[in-house]
Amino acid sequence: MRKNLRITLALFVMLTITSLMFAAGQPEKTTAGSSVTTLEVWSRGEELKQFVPGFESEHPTIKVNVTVIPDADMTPKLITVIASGKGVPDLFMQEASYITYLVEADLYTDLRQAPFNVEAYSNQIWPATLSVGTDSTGAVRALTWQSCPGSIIYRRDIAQKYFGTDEPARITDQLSTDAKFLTVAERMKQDGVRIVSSFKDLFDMKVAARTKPWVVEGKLVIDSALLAYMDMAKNIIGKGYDLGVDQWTPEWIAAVEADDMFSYVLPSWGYQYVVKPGANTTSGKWAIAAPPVPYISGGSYMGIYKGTQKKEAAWEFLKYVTLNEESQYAYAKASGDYVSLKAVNERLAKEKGEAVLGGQNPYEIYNVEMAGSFNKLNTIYDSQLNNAFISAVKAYAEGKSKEQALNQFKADVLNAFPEIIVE
Amino acid sequence: MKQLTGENKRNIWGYVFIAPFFITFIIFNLYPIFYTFQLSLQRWDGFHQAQSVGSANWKRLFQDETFLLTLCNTLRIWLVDFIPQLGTALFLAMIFTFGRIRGMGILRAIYYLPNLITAASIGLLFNLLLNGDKAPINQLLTGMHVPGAPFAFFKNGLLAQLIASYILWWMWFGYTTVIVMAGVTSIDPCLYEAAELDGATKAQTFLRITLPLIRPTMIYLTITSIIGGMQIFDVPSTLTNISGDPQKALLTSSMYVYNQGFKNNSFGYASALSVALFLLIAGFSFISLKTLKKRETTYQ
Repeated sequence: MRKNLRITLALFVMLTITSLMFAAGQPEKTTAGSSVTTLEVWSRGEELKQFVPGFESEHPTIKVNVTVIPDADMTPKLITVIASGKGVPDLFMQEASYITYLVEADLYTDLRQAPFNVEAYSNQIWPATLSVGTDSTGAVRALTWQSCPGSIIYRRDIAQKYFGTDEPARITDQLSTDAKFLTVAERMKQDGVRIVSSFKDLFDMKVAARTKPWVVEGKLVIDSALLAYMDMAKNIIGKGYDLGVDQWTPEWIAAVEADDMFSYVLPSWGYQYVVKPGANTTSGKWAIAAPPVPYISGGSYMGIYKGTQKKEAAWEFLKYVTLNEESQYAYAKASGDYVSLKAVNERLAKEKGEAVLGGQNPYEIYNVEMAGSFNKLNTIYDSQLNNAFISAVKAYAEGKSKEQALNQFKADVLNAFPEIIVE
Repeated sequence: MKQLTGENKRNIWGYVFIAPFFITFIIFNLYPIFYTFQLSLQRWDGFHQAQSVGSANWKRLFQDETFLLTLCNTLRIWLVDFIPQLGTALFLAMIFTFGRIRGMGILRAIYYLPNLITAASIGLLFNLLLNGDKAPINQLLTGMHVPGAPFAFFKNGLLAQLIASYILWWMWFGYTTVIVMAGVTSIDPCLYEAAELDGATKAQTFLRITLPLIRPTMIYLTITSIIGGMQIFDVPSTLTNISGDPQKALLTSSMYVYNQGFKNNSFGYASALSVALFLLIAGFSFISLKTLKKRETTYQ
């Protein structure tokens, strides 16, 4: 009897252990016969959830389930679910520098077709923003609720001290060329003030100032704007004109409250995510100026998965988030973000200014900038090539010759993408 | 059905109990390993169809200077970590076994603690401590008026590698000490008494008796350290945010495989790199085993 008990117990333990290994991840059973469609959305940040309550109240038969996945994990997770065919989200998102790869990989539905007919809305969206989600054949694959025009977010009190004025237009003029920028930087450094938060801030500006993208007809193109940037960065790093840390490190974020840094050169999300939340004692001391060269950088783009079974429902949600003026207005009021629909931004420009900016309304400046023209410069290689170039810039700043640094860059490019022709 | 004899009955139960492990191993380890071999002969970006490219990935691998660089980096970081680790472990093991130190048990537990923290957290911790002019360590050094402060710890490649080795040493020396102590305490004390009677010095005892007799422990430690050391990923990647800067000084082989696979979406080439790493690690382990085992037989 005792022997049988032991055997039974052992079998039970083994069975439990084995079944535990396979128990995780069983899908929930949906109630049979329900008419509620549930949309699975993979988002890269929490902001999308702000749209869900408003959407669900307008569309009671559609439920939206938002899962937040960090940038670096998004593509690998997508690969896994698409390869297995199970659990693919109906809509998924990626950041602007990675989205081109997904857009070109034929994973998103072409929104120009029926029943989407996105072209009816084209003239309501800023053209530069729309073009990032458009692939090389002209198909519109991904849309966004944000636009990200660049800006100089600077300290009024420090500007008064060095320029005698804190007016945005004058600031733009004082920093309008590399030479002027470096002269001002040196003056500020004498007093221990850094002119900019990081040399990388200016990189995004210069990348958008190019006339050609990274790869043209399969060949690598290093624009002269970037070659000039290398010298600028070498000066900034070598002479200590910036904080000396990477973007998004705690020290970089904390510099909002510091008294020895003049500006962040960042797009509109820089104000929303870095300056506005961090400004306590410095609230009211900030202002926004247009950059010397208009540029856009960043943003989250979302599209509908090609193989989804819930196309209409997915389109309703995508429309609500990216093409609906009322919902975007409500979102912008709550978050301070700069949105993608022209009409909403124009409406917001007429309203009260921001307390952190001493009463300035950022939408006025950004609207003027977005009305300009921008080259379509994004390629599927962008995120990797940008990082490799920054690496080369750091090498140049640390003592390598320009040619050595560029050769290192070219070797990295070939290493990552052997199909690119490098001269 | 034939009646099972007592011995056969016991054998059946043995197989039954090891079955869960082997089933899991075959599904989650063995099959992916074979799939990686297959993938190394293909080109695949995860989204489109995989194309067979024969030995193109392997040809590229043999001409890849960056891969060679990563191997050198990995070996350097590992050696500068492992040799002090063994040295510290032997030293501490001897003190703990033969010295009369109060609180030996507590000390041993404290030395082991760093091993319990995940490597990614430690990498992040040291990054926060060292990166930037206003980082805590720099603030401390500036406050103490150390000449040259604040230092840019991650600007110099060699210094960055030293820091990585130091972090790994700090994480693992406790574990190594515990294992070496286990080996040392298993030596028969009569041998030491006999040596003392014969007038051997402490150094001679250590070199001629202790070291040779803990050879099996050393073999185990060396081989597991090679296997782990050649795959160092978490500490260098959290220190540098997976970029391997400065100038790829902290780019280890595993990081390179990760970058090729998950950043460049070249799963075929990344698979070829993993297979090459596997063969290298197996080769190194085999060589260590043969070298260390050769002289062991004389003491059995």
